[in-house]
Amino acid sequence: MTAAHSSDAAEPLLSVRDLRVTFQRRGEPETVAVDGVSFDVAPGQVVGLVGESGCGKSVTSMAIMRLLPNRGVRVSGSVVMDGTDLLKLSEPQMRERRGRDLSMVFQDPLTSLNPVIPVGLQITEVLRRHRGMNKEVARKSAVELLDRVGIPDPRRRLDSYPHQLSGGMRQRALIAIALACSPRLLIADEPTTALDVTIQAQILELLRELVRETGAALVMITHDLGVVAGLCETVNVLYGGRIVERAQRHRLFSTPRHPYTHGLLRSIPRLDSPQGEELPAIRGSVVDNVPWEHACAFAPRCPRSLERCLEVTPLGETSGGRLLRCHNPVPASAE
Amino acid sequence: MMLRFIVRRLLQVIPTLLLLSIVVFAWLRSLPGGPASALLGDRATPERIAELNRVMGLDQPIWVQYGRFLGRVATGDFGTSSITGQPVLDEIGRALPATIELSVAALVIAVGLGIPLGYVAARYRGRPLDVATVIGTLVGVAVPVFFLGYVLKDVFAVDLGWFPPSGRQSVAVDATNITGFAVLDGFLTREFDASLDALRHLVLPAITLATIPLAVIVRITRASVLDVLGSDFVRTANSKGLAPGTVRGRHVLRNALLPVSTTIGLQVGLLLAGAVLTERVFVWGGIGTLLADAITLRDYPRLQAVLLLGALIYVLVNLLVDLSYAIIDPRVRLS
Amino acid sequence: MTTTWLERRRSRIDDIAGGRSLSAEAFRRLRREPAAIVGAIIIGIFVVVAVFAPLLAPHDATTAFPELQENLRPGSIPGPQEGFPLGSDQLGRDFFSRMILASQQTLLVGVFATLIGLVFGIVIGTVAGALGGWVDTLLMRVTDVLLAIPSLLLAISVAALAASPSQTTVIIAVSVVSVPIFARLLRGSMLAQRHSDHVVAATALGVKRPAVVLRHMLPNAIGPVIVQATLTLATSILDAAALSFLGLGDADPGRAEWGLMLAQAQTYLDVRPALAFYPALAIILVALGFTLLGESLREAIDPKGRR
Repeated sequence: MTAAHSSDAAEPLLSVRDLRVTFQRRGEPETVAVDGVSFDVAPGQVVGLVGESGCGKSVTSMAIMRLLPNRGVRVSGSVVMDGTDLLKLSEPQMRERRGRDLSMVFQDPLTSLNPVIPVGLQITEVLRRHRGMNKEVARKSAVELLDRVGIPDPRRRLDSYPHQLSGGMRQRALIAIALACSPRLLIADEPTTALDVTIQAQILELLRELVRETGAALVMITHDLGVVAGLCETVNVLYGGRIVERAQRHRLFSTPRHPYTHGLLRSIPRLDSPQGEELPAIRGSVVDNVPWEHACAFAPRCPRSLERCLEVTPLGETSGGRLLRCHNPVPASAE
Repeated sequence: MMLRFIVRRLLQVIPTLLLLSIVVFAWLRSLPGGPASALLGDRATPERIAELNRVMGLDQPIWVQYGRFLGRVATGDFGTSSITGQPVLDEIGRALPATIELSVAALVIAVGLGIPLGYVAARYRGRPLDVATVIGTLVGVAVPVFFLGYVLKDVFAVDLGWFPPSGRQSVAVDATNITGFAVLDGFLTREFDASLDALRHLVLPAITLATIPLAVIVRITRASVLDVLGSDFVRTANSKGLAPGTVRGRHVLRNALLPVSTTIGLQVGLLLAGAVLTERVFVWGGIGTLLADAITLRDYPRLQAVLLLGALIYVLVNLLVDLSYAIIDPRVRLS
Repeated sequence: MTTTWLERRRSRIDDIAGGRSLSAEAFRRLRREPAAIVGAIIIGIFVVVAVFAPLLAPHDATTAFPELQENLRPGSIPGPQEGFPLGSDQLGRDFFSRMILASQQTLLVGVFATLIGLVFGIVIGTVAGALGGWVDTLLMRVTDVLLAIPSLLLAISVAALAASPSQTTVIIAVSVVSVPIFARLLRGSMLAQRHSDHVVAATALGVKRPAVVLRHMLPNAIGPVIVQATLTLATSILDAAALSFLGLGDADPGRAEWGLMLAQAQTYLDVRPALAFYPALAIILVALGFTLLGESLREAIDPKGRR
């Protein structure tokens, strides 16, 4: 299956196929968090993974990085990068690649940093691990990195502790850590959710610049469509652990075809919507989902559901560079 | 900055110590028969009591009495033992090294064994070792110390003869006494057989005394490590592809051991209490024995002194632990 | 096998209608926990034996039987024989009956010591936490001092105040140790809740102070208190045994209480170790049972439900 992106159909940097992740807690039935997700990321591309809480987007990213715990978790499918299936690597082999070839920026910058060691050390340890630098060189590089991510007075900041930095600065530090060894793939899991709105914009801008500068590909995970609109070239919409729609950014926003995407976009309040009208919301919640194996997971909440939707699983169909998993999509010409 | 913290902590301790002295003072006053008859013990007659009252200034207003009490404590005048007639302070001075030696040995066992065990249990959570460890800690706190002591004594000293059943040193070994710490003295005088002999005597009592602190330290370490293992910053550390040793040392342990160090301070209090019981069983001749005899024979001057001393040590040790916290945890130091 | 969304929807509504509270959730989790089950079983057996002790014991605790006494010699105490399943104790009494009857006394010691500690601790802690200010500071300073003294030493100090030791002295001495713990617990809970939304809301709605404390804050503190009470039950029994061992316990040799029996048996260890072994085992099991239950409870009521 080819991924739709603007550049030519070169070899994708990352190729995820049929990724499936299940969790099993003691005494409880197995839960499927990621249910057959497939997508590609081309070198230097910015791909979005959108969905509400519980749709499996974070688990997908953790699975790609092989950061999920071993006990109670089953991962199947393939995640191919540079011709190697990351899922089949041994732990030491994966450790080589983490931080060097692919890295991650997490959601909460305060808890994602070690509180008892200085920020500088948290950067230099990556550099020394993968690039074999000595302490002097590593510290110099760290200063440069902190400068590049926009932290003022970087030399002094090297010895600061995380709690001495503001939320925005911490997130910048995390980004510096993630990009220290110039990985070719960066995964950002809700990097701005824990930040103030003004800082959010700054961080997103920073990410965009850095990605362009370093030529790294970015997988942006978020529930915020605004973030997606500003940053991502291709957008994957996840629901219930499966991708229900994939399209180029502009096409997705102008003509969302999947009822879920459509509902999401419609529910964003607009300044110019008529007063006194009810905000359109998607009824029900994730709890109402049906498993994908029997039917369409979204059917119970879908305003366009047919009888068929509760009986037959819709398959993902590609056409014109778009993936759609729906029996009764919103017509192409509709608003 | 550090100095200010130390001074602040020291100042906080003073009201506690003052209150402690008041409590002990009040306690002494509440002893049956009043302090005079308490001090006289068996030799109390109404005339003697009245005489002593006058001498001790018990007819003075209460704050004058308290002031004199404080003065006596400050100069180390704890009166004389009603059993031996010796100054209590001297008795304590002679007995203290024995208890310290025992407590240090027990602490070394509890910490030296407890922290690694707790870590391993957490690391291999749910596996047989972990389950056995958890059960062990639960049983460990449920066993009466003195019973354990007798069991160990009976099995290993009386039946098997591996270790001596009581006392600090064999009569046969001719040991010179310098510091009062038998093992150390042996080294200092190059009488290594004396050191060895003292060590052999230490084994059983130290194990007995160490049991409860060991159980607690293992439990806290395990809980703390489990907590930290699931934290976001450990996830970040792993996402960097760092070597497992680095993650373990710099990220997991440095954070996990913080609450453990507080516990160690608390354990010292338990050690003092446990020493009372253990010394009874093994006829150790330390503070515990002093206390136990004082109880049985109603030697109130001694009792008062030992209790005061016990509380004092506990407060001071905890102060030390708090201060060490400041050194280890930058969040405390820099606030 | 996954349920249909409809079934799950229905059960969700049933849950809300049935008023499934935090405690029901906790109880459910508890039922599956093996530690809790084992603890509950042990305690259950203990309580049953204690309650029905007079019926279960073939003889009483103080009668010395001639059949046993005639075989008492220095260095020899008769073991199990016809009519006396556990043989004799050091004074020719039926050891088995004493063991059973002692469960009552031991349970009483634990329960009373814990209750006293609980009541005083709750009152002090609630007052401190609810009133705040200098009352709080004063009460907490005193509590700190009490906590500063190692528990056994504190118990010893209190026990030493008595002119002549008795069971009551032991109970009071042991309870004093737990008062500061409960006080701190309650105060901490009160403090944590003072600024929480439900308290602020109640006050804003005009509910009077005492009612706010009693009806809105106290119930939330109950969970940790129950956990601590269970653990205190275990430590009370152990501390009481230690006090007896040191000679501060009940001087009455006739009383059957495991801690006391254990302490008295120390002198006969080489003659008849069983005299110490059985009470020790009983104490260990009971302490273990309460500890297991307490620890499981603590994990169960943790609202974050972390595993």
